[in-house]
Amino acid sequence: MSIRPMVSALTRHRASVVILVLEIALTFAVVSNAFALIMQRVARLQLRTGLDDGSHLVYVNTAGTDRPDVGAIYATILDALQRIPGVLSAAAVNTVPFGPREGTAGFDLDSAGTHFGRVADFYYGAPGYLHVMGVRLIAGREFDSSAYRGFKVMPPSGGVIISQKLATLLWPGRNALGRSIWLGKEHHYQIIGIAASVLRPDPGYAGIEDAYDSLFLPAELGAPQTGSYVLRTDPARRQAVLHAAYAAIQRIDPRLVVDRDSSGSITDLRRAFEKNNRIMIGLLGGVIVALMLVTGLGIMGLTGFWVQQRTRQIGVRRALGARRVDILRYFQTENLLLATAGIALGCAAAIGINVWLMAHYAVPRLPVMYLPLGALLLWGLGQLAVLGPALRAARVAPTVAMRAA
Amino acid sequence: MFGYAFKLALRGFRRNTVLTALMVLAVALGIGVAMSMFTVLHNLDGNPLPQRGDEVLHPQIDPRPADLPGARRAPPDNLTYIDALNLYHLDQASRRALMSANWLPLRSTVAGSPLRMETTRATTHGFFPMFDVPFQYGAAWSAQDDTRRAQVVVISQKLNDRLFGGADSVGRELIIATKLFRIIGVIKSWNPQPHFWDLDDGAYGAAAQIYLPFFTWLELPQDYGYGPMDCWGDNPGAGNHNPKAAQCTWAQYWVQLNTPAQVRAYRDLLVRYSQQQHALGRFQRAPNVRLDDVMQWLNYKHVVPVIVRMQTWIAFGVFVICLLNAVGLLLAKFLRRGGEIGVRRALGARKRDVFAQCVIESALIGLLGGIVGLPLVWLGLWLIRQQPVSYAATVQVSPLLLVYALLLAAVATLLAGIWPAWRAARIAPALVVKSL
Repeated sequence: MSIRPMVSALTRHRASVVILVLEIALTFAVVSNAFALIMQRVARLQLRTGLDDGSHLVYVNTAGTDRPDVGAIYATILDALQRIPGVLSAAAVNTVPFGPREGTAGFDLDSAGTHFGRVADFYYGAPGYLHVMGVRLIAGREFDSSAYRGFKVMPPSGGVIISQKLATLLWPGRNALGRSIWLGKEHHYQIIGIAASVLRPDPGYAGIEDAYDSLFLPAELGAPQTGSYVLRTDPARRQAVLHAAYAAIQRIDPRLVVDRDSSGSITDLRRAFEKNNRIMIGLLGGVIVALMLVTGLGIMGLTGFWVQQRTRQIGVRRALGARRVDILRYFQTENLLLATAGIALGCAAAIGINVWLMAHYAVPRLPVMYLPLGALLLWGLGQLAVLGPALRAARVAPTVAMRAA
Repeated sequence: MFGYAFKLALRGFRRNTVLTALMVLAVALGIGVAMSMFTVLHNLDGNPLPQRGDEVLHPQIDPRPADLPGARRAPPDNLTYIDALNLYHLDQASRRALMSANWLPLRSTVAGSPLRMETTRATTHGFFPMFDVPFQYGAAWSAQDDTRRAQVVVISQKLNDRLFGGADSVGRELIIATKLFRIIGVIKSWNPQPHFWDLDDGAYGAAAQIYLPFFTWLELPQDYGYGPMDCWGDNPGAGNHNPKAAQCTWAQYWVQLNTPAQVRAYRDLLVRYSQQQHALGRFQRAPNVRLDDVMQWLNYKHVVPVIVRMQTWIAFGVFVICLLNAVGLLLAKFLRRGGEIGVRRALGARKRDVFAQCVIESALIGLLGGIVGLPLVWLGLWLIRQQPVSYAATVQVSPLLLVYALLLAAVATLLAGIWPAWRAARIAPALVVKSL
């Protein structure tokens, strides 16, 4: 089929053609950017905790007290928690994946502070917490039992265990073991172990590529921020364990307040985190569907108008021997042409919008693979929308031409 | 004339029900998406202190050492204890408030009552009049209460409902962090968004439940934290939450300055103060001050979540697409009726009559689209409120918004109809009538 007469037919109604192409271009730009946003959220749903059997864990967080020496009863509480039926092991820890942010800090890679490392999350807990959480060591060693004693909030120096992904980000291609990090000039730690990457407490806080920036430090039981506990449980009894834990803490000291909002099984905490992302995906998905509908309706309306305008020409073509399928193909090809023009223009717009968003809102680069995906979507939409009017055109009887003449 | 155009418009709808329905649906979808997103942005982006946002200002000075690798050029958001105290006492502002936040354990005086942790704002007496905090019962504390470290507390309506069943609780007592405090006022529900006065813990969310005099709060018997602290250098006290450490900023400070002259004078004061501290050897940097009003401060801090801004741009794109769509479809709709228009023109209708009729028809479609779109706006906002993020809870639907949505739909479609209407009015009657 020759394109030339098709183009010359389109130039007969330039205005509506320009509108349609613009509409397709804008739809393409918006849809591909919205799709990129959706995929970011989907990536967040696919985060893994990095812990062995993380779904077996329950986190219990005490929020505060007006008792002056609260640290003194942390050991009593831990002892009571360990006795709850269904609890396999327990330890004091500041937080867990999907728990509250309790140890977010930036660190340097030299003592002068001229080489900034990253902002990461520090997990710290009393002896045994790495085992209870299920942190798997890939290289190096764990803390000595003496490392857990002799300081108030954070050890001034000693060993630190680092998530593998963070180690790779900081020292790509080199061995991280034995290297040091500094938190101000007061605290510096040497990397003694590399762990299978563990998720940060609040992975939505930073970008997805930073989701595994976590490190591990020792802490003494009774130190500030160790009034929260991680319990490894029989997964079938998670809820019962949680309620027994609340009751046990109340029994030991009613002056201690448990923060129930941030406590729960990791599975429950994760669900709350995911809900946000799911709704966002739903919202953006809704926008895309609505937009495609609107554009589809637009294509349908305008093509229908063109079919009506060209009824006589269609009749003439049919009378001169064009088959129904030729007419059908004509409108389908025309639509393909318009959609392609729109997509080409939209590509430029999508990249332009993305560059602008990147400059203003620190949005990641639009992955190039979404562009052909968006193109396929719009080609498909165009063909679907044009089918009705094109079929109507194909049904035009050849006699129409003679009657109208 | 109008009635006739209206009647013709309705006839036009009936003649081409499918096309009309498509257009109404397209407008409705566009309005639904765009309005729900714009509402979110409007809720988050609005001025939280409209009555005097430009008179309430946030002073910043720079006490950091000259050599601090990786530091931003802008001064810290908060003040150190020393600077906070100095500025508070040396101040010329008509009203001023020093503040910070933490959580405090609270219980009623009834024996055996449960302990609860409550969000606390520690501040000075100027906070309440400066931010127009409305009182249900009682009143704020006085300047004397601040200086003599009175153990008085202002509580929120919500807490008052929970503890005292909503009764006037002024004069009753609470045990806060083991100390006895007398309730002096109950705040009516008050929660401007974003809560610009302290952005350290996010910009949206619930207001504090209890308000304590700043200096009383500072001397509570135990360390409950003093709000997020930003410390630098070799500071042995930093790790131990020492609020008086010279190298830690954590206190927020706001002043009210009623005239531009006062603002200029205050800015000079901040520069002079910095120079003086520099001369004393406390400050190492050249004077580096900021004095933002509420909206400048919110812009400077980029409080509106990035995701919301992006969604708003997407919504704007959707809206433009819907307009383009309306233009295209209206063009098709009017030019399809070329025959009818030609006959009307031949029978004496002026161009202007045809034009007016087409524009009225467009606006009518817009209005219909708006009506169909309202439930969609509502649905969109409902979806947004389902998110557990803090800003989502603050999104509200006002009746005014629904009126705006209708108006926007009608006006936008009317504007979209102008060019197609003009094209329709240009139809040459002779040519069309001949081809009928």
